[in-house]
Amino acid sequence: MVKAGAISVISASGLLAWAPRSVADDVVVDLYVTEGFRDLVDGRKLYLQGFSLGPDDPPDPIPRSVINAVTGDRVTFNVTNTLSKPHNLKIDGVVDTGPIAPGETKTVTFDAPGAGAYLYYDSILAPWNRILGLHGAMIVRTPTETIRDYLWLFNAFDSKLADRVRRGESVNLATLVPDVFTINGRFGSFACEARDTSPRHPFGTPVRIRMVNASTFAKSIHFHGEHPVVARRTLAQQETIGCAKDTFLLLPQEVVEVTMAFTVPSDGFPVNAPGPGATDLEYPVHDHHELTQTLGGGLYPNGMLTDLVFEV
Amino acid sequence: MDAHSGHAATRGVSLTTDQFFHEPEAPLAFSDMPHHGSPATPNKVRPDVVFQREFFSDKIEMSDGRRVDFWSFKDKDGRKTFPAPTIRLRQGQVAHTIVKPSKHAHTIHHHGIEPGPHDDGVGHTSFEVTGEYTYQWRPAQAGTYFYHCHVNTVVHFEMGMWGGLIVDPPEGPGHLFPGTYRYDVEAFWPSSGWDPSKHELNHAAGLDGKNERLNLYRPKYFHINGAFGASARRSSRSSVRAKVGQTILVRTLNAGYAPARVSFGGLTGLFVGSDGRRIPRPFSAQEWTMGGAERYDVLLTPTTPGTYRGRFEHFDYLTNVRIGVVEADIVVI
Repeated sequence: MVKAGAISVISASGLLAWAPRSVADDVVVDLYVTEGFRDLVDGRKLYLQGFSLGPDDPPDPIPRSVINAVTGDRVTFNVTNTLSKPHNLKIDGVVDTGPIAPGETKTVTFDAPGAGAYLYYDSILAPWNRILGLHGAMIVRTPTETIRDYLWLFNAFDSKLADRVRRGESVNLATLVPDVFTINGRFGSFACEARDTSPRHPFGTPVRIRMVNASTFAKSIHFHGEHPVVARRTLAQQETIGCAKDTFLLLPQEVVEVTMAFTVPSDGFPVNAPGPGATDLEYPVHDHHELTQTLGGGLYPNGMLTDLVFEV
Repeated sequence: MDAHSGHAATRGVSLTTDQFFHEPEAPLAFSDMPHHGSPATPNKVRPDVVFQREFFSDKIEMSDGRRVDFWSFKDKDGRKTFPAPTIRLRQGQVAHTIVKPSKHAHTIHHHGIEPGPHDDGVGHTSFEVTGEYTYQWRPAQAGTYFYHCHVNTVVHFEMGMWGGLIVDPPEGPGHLFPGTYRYDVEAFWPSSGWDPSKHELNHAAGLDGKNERLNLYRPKYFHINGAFGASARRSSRSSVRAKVGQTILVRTLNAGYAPARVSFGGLTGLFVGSDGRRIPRPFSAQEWTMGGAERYDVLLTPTTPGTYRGRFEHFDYLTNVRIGVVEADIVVI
């Protein structure tokens, strides 16, 4: 996807790098602040607000829309508020629409920031609008990126408080106790089965996983089967970049990106190498703050987990 | 997000992911995952080392007089401790861990060790054990790990069903990794807080869909390596004694469900390993925040005699307010 005029350079580190494209592309995104419900397996309904693709499009799952851009692009958000209170769309350090009144549309245009995943969210009444579901991710890639990538947006919802908001009742952050924990808006087996969330690849397929914590509290994401390598962190512990780890701390609103090699898991005997009689290897990935592995205060493991599948 | 498919098809407009979704009709019945009595170990061979871990339950009396139930694993010799007895071996050894769950379903997941799924100890990707099972594994890399039950983990791990797992390099204890990071004194510092309300539940709490408030975590009793509260300062389980000039290796583990910050009484640690791997560019720090289940291997080389108060500060899972502190002395003579 390199356009004419792009210039390759050899950086000081000796790695191949690319100058920004000389011809910027325009990424135009229409988003609508909407509300809706999601059915939970225990029969309850979860009230949500979110950024949807159409004015009548319910915000489920979250993110309803992932914004894709390439470094050098100009990005335009047209955000329409279909609800009855003011909302905004913000990416920390990048863009902020400012308050959008009910029924109005605001447009912002900005240069795509450096490569990586970004959390976009509603910062009004922080953190309430964000944790009701008004958040999503923008992914910026360089023109030369070839690695396959996945977004894991971690969300947590308090179904009782969300319902109080829906009814217009007052809410107190001190009483926030999330009871629905999801990756990309899906919990438990739904996230394990979702092809956009659960990586399934042959041995040796490099994969970038972009973890974005949209919730108000820290996560500690544990990978079974492989020690991915930290490639990018946005809020803390830059010292760990380059470290192979099995568990990764994500602060609230932090982005942590890791690279998996899908190498043969090293500690089996006999080693689980591809070959005659070999079968796919399936492992979980989950938050080790195990409270988030539940749904409605029980039903382990129907929370924030997904699966990795190493294919023969 | 199946990002490249979406990227190629729709770059320049927002992407809905629905086209990639395969929604199951209903959640998999995780809570009814298969229980096996005593499944066979695939490709079983004669091991180099054998560890046996059998369920037991007991109580610990806290400083306020409250007796708190816990569950853990005892070893072949019947040693009943919390944390469970450490599993220790050298890299490259073929190991068997025999789990005997007693009357309920349990597993052992060797956290950070990467065997096949059959020996990974996770119910929904393999099975839970009700009779007996022998996990077969061979650690390829020296470092600090731990093991724990992975059944209804939110309850069983909190109840105490975990212990340390140390893989030594070929030269044995005294080096952290092959040929490097020699140490004279070693400490294992796992730390967590117990929420007593979680210690009054049954093994299967919440699996039937009942709201057992397993999404709440209000720990009250904090420990380092099983030494609770003020006793941790001088307990042989947690305190460290060394001479000036010696190198101390502290193997830290946040065994809780929320961030914890470790520090060493003003000593600067050299962070050389994490999660069973070398840190490529070791760094120095006086304190460090760890998520649940993270491990950091820290070298201390004190140059002045004194008593340094190592410390774990535990933070609330939702508000990040500090809710507990537990300290262990590092005595340097």
